[in-house]
Amino acid sequence: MKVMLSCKQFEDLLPDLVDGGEWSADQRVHGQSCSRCSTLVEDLRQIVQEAPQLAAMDEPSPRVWLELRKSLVAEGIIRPHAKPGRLMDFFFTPRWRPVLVPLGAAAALAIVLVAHRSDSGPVNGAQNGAVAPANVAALDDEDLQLLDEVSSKTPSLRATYEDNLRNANAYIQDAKDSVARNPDSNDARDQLMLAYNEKTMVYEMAINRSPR
Amino acid sequence: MSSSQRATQCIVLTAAVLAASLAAAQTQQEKRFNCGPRPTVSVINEYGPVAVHPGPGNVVVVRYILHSDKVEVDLSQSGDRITVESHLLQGSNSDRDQVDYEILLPAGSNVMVHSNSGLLSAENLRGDISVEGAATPVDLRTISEGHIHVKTLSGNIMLMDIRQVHVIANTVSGDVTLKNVDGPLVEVSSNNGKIHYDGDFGGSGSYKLSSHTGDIEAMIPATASVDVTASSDKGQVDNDFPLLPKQHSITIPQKGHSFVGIAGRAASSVLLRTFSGKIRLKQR
Amino acid sequence: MSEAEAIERAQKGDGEAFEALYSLHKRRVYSLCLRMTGNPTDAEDLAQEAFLQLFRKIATFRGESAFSTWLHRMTVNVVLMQLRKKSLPVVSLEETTDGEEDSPKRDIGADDLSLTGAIDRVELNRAVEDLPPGYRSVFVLHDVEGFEHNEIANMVGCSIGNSKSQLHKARMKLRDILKHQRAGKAQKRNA
Repeated sequence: MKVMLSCKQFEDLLPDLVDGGEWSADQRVHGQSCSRCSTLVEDLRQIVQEAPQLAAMDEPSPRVWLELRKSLVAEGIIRPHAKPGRLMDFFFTPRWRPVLVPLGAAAALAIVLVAHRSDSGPVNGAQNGAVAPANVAALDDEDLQLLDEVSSKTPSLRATYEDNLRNANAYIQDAKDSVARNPDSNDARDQLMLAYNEKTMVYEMAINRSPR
Repeated sequence: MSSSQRATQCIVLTAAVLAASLAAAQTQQEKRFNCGPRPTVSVINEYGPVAVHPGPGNVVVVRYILHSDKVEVDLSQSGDRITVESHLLQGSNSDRDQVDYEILLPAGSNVMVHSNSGLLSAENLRGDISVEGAATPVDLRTISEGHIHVKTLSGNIMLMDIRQVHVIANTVSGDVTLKNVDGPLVEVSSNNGKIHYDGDFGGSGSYKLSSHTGDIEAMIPATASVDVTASSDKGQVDNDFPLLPKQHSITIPQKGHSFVGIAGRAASSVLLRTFSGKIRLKQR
Repeated sequence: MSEAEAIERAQKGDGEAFEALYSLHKRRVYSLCLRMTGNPTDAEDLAQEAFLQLFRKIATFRGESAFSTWLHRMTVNVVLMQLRKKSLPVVSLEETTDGEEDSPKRDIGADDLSLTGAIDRVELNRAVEDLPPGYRSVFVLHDVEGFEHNEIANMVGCSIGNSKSQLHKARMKLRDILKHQRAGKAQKRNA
């Protein structure tokens, strides 16, 4: 007389069954006659079926990217793009905090440099014809670093600083174009100075708000 | 007792318990500092409003409400310098962990206020006032003498009844409203917010209202004594005020983009300048 | 930006490209770290480390295998190294685990309630959190992340048989936990 599989024996063969293996005749007979074991198989299959849903269920906090980015920049893996004619490069280095140039001197130097450059030809923005729309101007690497600092201290303000940095950059771009078109215009130069003053204000507000 | 009466009792009881819990969650405190007639008071808040008013005598009174236990307040005095500073503790959240400040001080005090959120307001003062906030609206009223410096990123700025004060107000995307503001120097800038001036540009001062894309509107009385230059690179410029032509001017008027002119004795110089916003000068 | 484009630009040092790659894969990497460690702070540190190690080597990526597979393996290695450092059990090295971990007892003959109704991932996630670390690792690596037993055995340093038996025990334990969770909920509802 053929001895039927016991529940224990059935369970020993479970892993293969749950993972989609072929049922042998004995297993099929036991499974059909034993509701407990067939239920067990069904339950385990459900667990296996649902498990892949856990793969991308959670989101890390923004801190992870911020710290990661800092490391990538510090190790030189993220390389800042070289852009000619970026006057802000003159004022801001990666470690800008201790060397932030006083407002008046920075803006005055900007005017002199732009005036000099405009004597010899239009600035790059006008040459390229690439004028950022007023409200979607790009952020440079120093801006992104500043935003990282803001995020690490007051994450809720990151969006505010980002929007306003873009506004300030758009102003600078428009003002540079204006100087390029009207190199002799004091008004255009004043506007450029105002634009740089505005960006400096944003930086100062962010830096001054870092914990002492 | 009927079931509806029981239900009402339950609701009343629950409300009372909730109110008590809310009150317990907010801690109200007050601290006083004796000082001279012109102390320097600094309030550095992470989140929450700061209201500054004159108080009686030579005393600085700091009243504050802590909205959670994840923020603490440090108060210190060094002579006539009083510093009030909020610190967020670990696990804090900007939405909940704010401190509301009310400061009473001598009217001649020099005041420095900062907060990242919440209205920053001051009124009836005579000293130097410096206010800074990222997304904070600023409201300064009835200030005379001294200097006012205001900086915001996106907070709106309201300056009302500011007399004979040196004013510098800068915002990137906030609106600036000036009502009855005059002084030896008034410089206001906004990148894309609106600037609205309603006053007489009095005091033989120098007024500069500048923007990148924000509109600038100035309303002045017929008796204003001004030397006005208005220009916009790309925006529309309109003048609805009777100005006399100016004999010598650096700016060459360009219909629709700039105008120059004088009124009265041209006592105050007024420069309205925007890159691509609209400018309008109107008579009140 | 497509992944291929992001990889190419990242190889040139483009910060935006790195951010794009991070955004594409952050949930998978972090979830893996979280399931394996059970601790959000540790998981974030490990996720950061995994991306950093990968990005350091991105210049050497030639596209022979899928980028995600490469990242996946890197993440598992980082997590396993960390677990070993902390001397936490990754997978029990014993084939038989009677009394070693909380082995599920199968009560043959007793009334055995099934898991009525479908299992949702929130429920399952909670149950996985309650698994002992050794069981949790093999369940996460095999059933959640899709590694084969031979790969798990290689990574973890155990036999294929051990990996299979631990997986079975993990699933049985999960079933028990899920039943208890549901029984507890039902009791609260009826109270």
